Amino acid sequence: MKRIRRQNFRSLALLVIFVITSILLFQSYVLQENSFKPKVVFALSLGEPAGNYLVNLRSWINDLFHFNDLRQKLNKIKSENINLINRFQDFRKLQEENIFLKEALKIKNETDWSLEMAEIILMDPSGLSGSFWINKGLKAGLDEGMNVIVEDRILIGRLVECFNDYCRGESIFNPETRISVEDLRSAVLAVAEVDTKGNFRLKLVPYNSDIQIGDVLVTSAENTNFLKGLLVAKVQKAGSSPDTSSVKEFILEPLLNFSRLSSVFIIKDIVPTS
Amino acid sequence: MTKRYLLNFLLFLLVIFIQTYFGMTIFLSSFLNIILIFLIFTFFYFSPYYLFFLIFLASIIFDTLSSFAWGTHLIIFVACFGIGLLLMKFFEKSYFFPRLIIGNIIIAIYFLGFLILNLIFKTSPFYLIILQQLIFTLMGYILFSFLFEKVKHIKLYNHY
Repeated sequence: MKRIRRQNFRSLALLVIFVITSILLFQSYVLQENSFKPKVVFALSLGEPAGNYLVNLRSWINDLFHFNDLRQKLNKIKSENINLINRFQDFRKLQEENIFLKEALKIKNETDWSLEMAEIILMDPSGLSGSFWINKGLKAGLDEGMNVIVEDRILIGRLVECFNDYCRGESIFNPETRISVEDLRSAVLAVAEVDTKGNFRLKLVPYNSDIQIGDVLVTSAENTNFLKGLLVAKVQKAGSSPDTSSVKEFILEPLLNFSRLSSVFIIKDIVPTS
Repeated sequence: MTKRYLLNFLLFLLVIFIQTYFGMTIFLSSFLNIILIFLIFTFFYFSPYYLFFLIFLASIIFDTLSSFAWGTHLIIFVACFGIGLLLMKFFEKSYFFPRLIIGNIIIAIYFLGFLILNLIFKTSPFYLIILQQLIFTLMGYILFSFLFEKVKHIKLYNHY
């Protein structure tokens, strides 16, 4: 009888200790968010030299399963390149005229943005949020809300959380992202967002809008989170919306080159107001 | 016994490293969740207190790298393995098929947790990607279970 009581008491004591430890652990987990994050990023980024082999291996395996797609894209790019070379000949004359007029009217050149170069060191491994970490933070003058681009002004996303030496950003593929875009050719405005299947789409575009396959979309002035004029995507496919026949939907192909994502630029001058 | 735990912890660190670098992507995609599979195997062969410690570490890493609210992964991990502990009362973990069933249920509850969170908190649920990840992880877990069982049989056969 005494033994049973002792055993029960011991089990109860262990349970109480376990519950208290769990509560304390959970509380410390929740309260130490800002302390854990930079330490975890630092610890994981130490494995970057070896980790890059795994990243390259994944890209290689991905290419292996999509080699047909890659071949088609290569042929498409080759023919686009020839078109662009021909168009460039036409634009050269206009460019010379433009320089002459600028000098004549004494118009200053547009000032470039102040850019800070950084590297993407980690990304979301769960594939569910499009989140990434860069290796610069508050010490480098970065702040939440700043836009992140690659060369050629292609939009990657924006910074959402900054620490001293690291910043976390959300890419344009984050499910909650909505980007106001403008068609470069026809100046039609629309909204690009990630759909339920994870594809990038233009939704609720009026049926008579002048948007065609191959059109390039840039961020418009209506955005509260993104600066104007950043390249976003190209229209890949057109279709009608399943909800109503008076609007159209388009599937977009992002202009991001995923193989060149390690080095990025952060636009420091202006933080769009949300 | 300490050696077993130490080896398991080192393997856990390796799995975390592989999942972090091999799985990282800036766009939404489906991928095999090897950390979850590893935790399920640890659940069957090690102490629940040690498992809780590994869950704590895995949650810190997943919560840091994703944009979900802090604590999301911890709650989901604790919920699915808590249910796994309850299931152990009805199934016998020393047999292969009950372990397979419990593991599959844990994986299903894990991804169901994300689906529910997305329905409640996000405006555009990406159920198809979560479903794809669920299927990949289930297939991965079944494959690893059969492989592990085969290795155990071979070791036993060689021992006797």
